[in-house]
Amino acid sequence: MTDDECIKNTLSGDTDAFRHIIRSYSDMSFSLAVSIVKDPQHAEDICQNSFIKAFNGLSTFKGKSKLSTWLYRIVVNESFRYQKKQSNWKAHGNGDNYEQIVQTNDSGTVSDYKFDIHDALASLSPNESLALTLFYLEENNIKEVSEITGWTSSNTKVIMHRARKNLRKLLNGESLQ
Amino acid sequence: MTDELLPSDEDIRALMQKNGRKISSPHFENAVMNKIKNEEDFRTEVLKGLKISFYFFITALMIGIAYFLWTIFSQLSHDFLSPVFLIIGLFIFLVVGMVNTDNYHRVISTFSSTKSFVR
Repeated sequence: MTDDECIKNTLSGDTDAFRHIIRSYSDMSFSLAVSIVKDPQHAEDICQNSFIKAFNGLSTFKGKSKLSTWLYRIVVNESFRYQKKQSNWKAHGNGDNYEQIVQTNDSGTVSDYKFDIHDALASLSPNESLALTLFYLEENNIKEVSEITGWTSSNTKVIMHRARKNLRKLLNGESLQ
Repeated sequence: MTDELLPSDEDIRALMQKNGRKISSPHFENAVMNKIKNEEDFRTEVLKGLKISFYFFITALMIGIAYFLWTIFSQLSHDFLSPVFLIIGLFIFLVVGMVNTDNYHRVISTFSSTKSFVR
């Protein structure tokens, strides 16, 4: 079933059609929420609330953007709203807690990273980890990242540049200070 | 700064995609659907109650207007001042009735329009 069919069926009264949307987008929504709030438990609650909001507001989705863009925008807004309430974010992970990740690239050479990717993302600011998650995990381009986050294009590029730099530092076991 | 994936970013992309997060709870989907269903059921119940309340209100309003009209007509034949007060009272009653009817209409519309298919 395509997204458009799901939306049409849901708005016609077939509530179960919304399950397809939940199944398709729950993992990425969770990744986005975790990148902002840094806590998987709260991220799951935020995802639940976001999907309920999406369901209630489905009749307002005009189809001008992709459903994923619209939905992730809700998740991002909910996450930042939660984070603002909490008004703190803590860097998780420390220098002692690492595992070596061996990555082989196409040329056959091996690169070693000294820091776990999840810990590295948790150590970045919410904006930076969100930008990286949208760009690399969901493979959105800068314009799509801007649409989802509400940042300007130039701001998005600045955040991406900083995020890449800081992520590499963390993956190599360096500190951000 | 560029918005394209650089060759040097491929390792980051591969790392992130390999270690992408998944929701750990196996019942996430059912939990969301249950909440949605509960909200829908609640909304339907409230809407039903509002509509019944509105019908009672309209009935009471009509009875009130009918009583005023009957009293005015029966007073017209006797003196001048009493019908004036009765007409003022009827006017106030009508205004209050219209405002409340509009209120009900707004509440029912708002409650119905959040999802277009709620019956």
